[in-house]
Amino acid sequence: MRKSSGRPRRRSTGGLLASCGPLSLLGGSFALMAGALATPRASGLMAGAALLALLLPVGCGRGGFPWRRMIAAGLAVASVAWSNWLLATPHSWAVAATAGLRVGLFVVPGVVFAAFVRPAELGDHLAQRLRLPPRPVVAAVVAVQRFERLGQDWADLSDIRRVRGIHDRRSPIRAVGGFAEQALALLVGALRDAAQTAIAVEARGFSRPQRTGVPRTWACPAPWTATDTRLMACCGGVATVSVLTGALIG
Amino acid sequence: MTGSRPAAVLVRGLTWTPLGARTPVLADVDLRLEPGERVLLTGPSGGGKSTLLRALAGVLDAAESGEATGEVRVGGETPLGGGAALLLQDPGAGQVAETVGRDIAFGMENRAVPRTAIWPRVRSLVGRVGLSVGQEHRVAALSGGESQRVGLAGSLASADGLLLLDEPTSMLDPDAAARVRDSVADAVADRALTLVLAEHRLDGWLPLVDRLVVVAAGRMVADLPVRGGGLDAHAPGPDSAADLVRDLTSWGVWLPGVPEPTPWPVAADVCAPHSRALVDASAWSGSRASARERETSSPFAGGAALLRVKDVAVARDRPRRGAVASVVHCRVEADLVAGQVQAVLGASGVGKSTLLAALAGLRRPVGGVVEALPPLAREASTHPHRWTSRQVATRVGYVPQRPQASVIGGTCRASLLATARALGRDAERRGDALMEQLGLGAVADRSPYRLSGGEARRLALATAVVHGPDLLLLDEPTVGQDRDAWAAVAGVIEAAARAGVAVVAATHDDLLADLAARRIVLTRGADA
Amino acid sequence: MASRRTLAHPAPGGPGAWRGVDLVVAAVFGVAMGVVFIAWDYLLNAPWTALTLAFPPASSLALGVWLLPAVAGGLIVRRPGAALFVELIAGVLEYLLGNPWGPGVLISAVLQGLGAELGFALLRWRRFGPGVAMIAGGLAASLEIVAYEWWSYAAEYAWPWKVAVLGFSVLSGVLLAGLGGHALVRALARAGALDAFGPGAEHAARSDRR
Repeated sequence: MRKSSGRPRRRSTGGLLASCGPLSLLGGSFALMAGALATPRASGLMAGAALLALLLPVGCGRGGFPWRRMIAAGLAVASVAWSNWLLATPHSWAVAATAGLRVGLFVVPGVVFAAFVRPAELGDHLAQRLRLPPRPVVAAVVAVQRFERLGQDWADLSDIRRVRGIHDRRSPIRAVGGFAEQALALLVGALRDAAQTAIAVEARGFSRPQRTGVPRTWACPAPWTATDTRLMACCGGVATVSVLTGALIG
Repeated sequence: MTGSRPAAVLVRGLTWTPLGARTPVLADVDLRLEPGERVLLTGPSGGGKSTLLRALAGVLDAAESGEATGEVRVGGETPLGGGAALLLQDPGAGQVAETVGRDIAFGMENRAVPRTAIWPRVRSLVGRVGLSVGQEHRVAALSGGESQRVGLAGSLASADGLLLLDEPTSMLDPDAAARVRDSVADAVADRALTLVLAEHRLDGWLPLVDRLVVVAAGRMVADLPVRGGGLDAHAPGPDSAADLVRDLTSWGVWLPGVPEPTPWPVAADVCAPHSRALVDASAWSGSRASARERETSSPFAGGAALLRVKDVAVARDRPRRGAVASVVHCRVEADLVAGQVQAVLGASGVGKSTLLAALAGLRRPVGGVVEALPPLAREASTHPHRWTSRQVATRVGYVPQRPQASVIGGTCRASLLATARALGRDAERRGDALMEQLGLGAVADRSPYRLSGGEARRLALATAVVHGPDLLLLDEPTVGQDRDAWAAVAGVIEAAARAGVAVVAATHDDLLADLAARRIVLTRGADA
Repeated sequence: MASRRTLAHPAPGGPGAWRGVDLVVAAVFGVAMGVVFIAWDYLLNAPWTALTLAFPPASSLALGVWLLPAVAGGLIVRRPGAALFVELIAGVLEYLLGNPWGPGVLISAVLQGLGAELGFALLRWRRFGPGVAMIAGGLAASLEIVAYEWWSYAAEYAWPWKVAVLGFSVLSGVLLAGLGGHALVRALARAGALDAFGPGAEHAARSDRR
């Protein structure tokens, strides 16, 4: 039945992450996050980081590592280290590096995992596996599907500001003001379109399950596979190792 | 389950007043349809056609609060959203999922169709509406016409014997529109569906329907049989039929067989380029640009060449995922000449909008030539993409494909004059004249976002002209215009050319292309 | 301006009865705010971060921008859960598109949404003026800082600095998210984008009286 799944083809990188469902990717991220925040000392964080450095490339597979997204994540971690040096008393590079490492330990894998989450699948899994209320989940999926078009709208609005002679980069205050104007224009357009969408989805029975009491069905399943369990085990393992190492090795 | 039997429709005394409105949008409407009947609803825009369709779909209060009285029955029952199928004007509005298959499945999911039954039905629906793309195709990569057919398939999946179409082709080019009409014709061929269709362009649809119902100011004003693809002039008495054709035409409905509209006379001085006015202010006094001069040739017909374009290649700034070409090649060789209208023609997706964007200096060409010649470049660069925002605005007026995007500010008048204000040009008098010409006088102080699609496009045209640019670039300026509005838009375009503006209009509208001195036809290049 | 005294236009069908249009518009609003955030990151974040490098707590002065979905969402839909729903959707979108904080952005979204929710709950979803908006914005900022950032991004700050971060954040939440969010919703209503909602109905009533 693979052909009739109605899903776009997955990124095939040969890695573990590409065949994981969204819930294990999210769950794994949170496990690593809890581990990092609960790890008391640098030794544990380093042990966790070492393990991740080994496991992440395997998980991503060939060409699966989202390098471009890492630039922003790297800067974020660096800014954490910097501010934790500047604002700690006394200033300490060791303390700052620990703070950066702790954040990096969940930010880096988190950003990597996020690159493998497919939005439509996330909706299916949240509703069918986590049993979240279906209407908000469906509305969210419909809205996220709008993202690309809204991005195009933003680009159109930027074009218009240039053609109409009010695009001004010289003054930062005007730049912020122009940004706010453009954001308002985007929101107005998006909300007016959303009202049309509300009519369209209601006509296709969006609120029918609630009115009739017959629950909706889902065209695609939301399976939890052995791969998902393996990912959760790996992330739980890394978190446990870093917490224990930090607690035992001063 | 689905589409098993056509539904009878009964509307009795339906009145709908949205919250905050002083007058009802629908007032005491009665309508009765036999199962399998096909009805075309027409009338002036804002007359209540869309609202009536929403009432039949059971989604009257889906996007606005209000008060409804009266009765609506579809197949003997009060319609509940998800029964009748409703297809809207904007192809994007109804898109709900990432892939074609999942989008079509949406209605069935809501009606609790089991998963195993959904996919075979999706497959058959894809074939039934004549889609050539697969179920896994991304919805975001569909053309407008394909989107409407996906929407139609999704609608048919849940149709309880009633199909409702709200101007489903008004945003499509003629070829795509014809294909959507064919798909609709197939869907209703076996009379297993009752059809209600709202339209203000009747050509093409009349052969599909049995009845024409006219709705104006919230009331039903006429109900005529249609036979053999034409209005049956004898049915209600010949006099009233002639009256009705006159009324319909005056409401802006495009009827087949009625002479095409002609551009209205518009004074050229309200469209004159600012640069020209500086050079020779006396030449553009109102007396010279009288309406009688419409027939005479433009004083700038042999005017200066402003912009040279040759085989330009432009990168799509955001390549659509799923689309093959990320560079658009426009095989074209032309000089844009002051005082001349040129039409850019070609199928949807061939790159007309991208070409206009390159001419406006919004995209840097990756190949070929877009060169501003001295009369246009003046002190600025000969490469339009290097111009500053101010330099672009002094030279170019631009109507984007989505006219709402050109709005800046809180009222129509403020938005209209924003560019003139930024450039320090006084354009209030011209602005008022243009708004009057384009039928926007009454909405000048309203929010520009509250305009109808046609009004928004006319405001965008006025906005592009009012500050006196040398070059006017129009992306589909006549889409969604009724007859009178078309004549006003065409009048402004002609007046601008007479005043010495170089006009380029990308369009599917043959009537507009007829006004052009030259046609540039874009075709899909082999290397695209 | 006397209308501010009158009771706000309530959500139709009672506060708990989410209509389809509530859900769809709230969700699209969240996604559109996500698009605005991405544009912000692309255009303004780098200069802003560079500007505040010498004094990192000042970067919290921009926090209010990220609280706008919660505050404005609550003001528009006027139902329990609206602030959380909209903020969560904006957060999920950022997460999916590779927000540099990874899962941290989801934690932040939940806390910010809950904080704003708390503000609206204090007045039992009956008032939606600038005062409530400021309370919601302030609480959203407080919860974000006290429950999360103090222990993650600012873990090693000396306590006076932690308090300074909280102060700047609350100020930003009250002004940018609170007053800014209220102004945003009014502007949206004026433009006709909220006709199905309380702010739209109130705008119609205001212009009727004029």
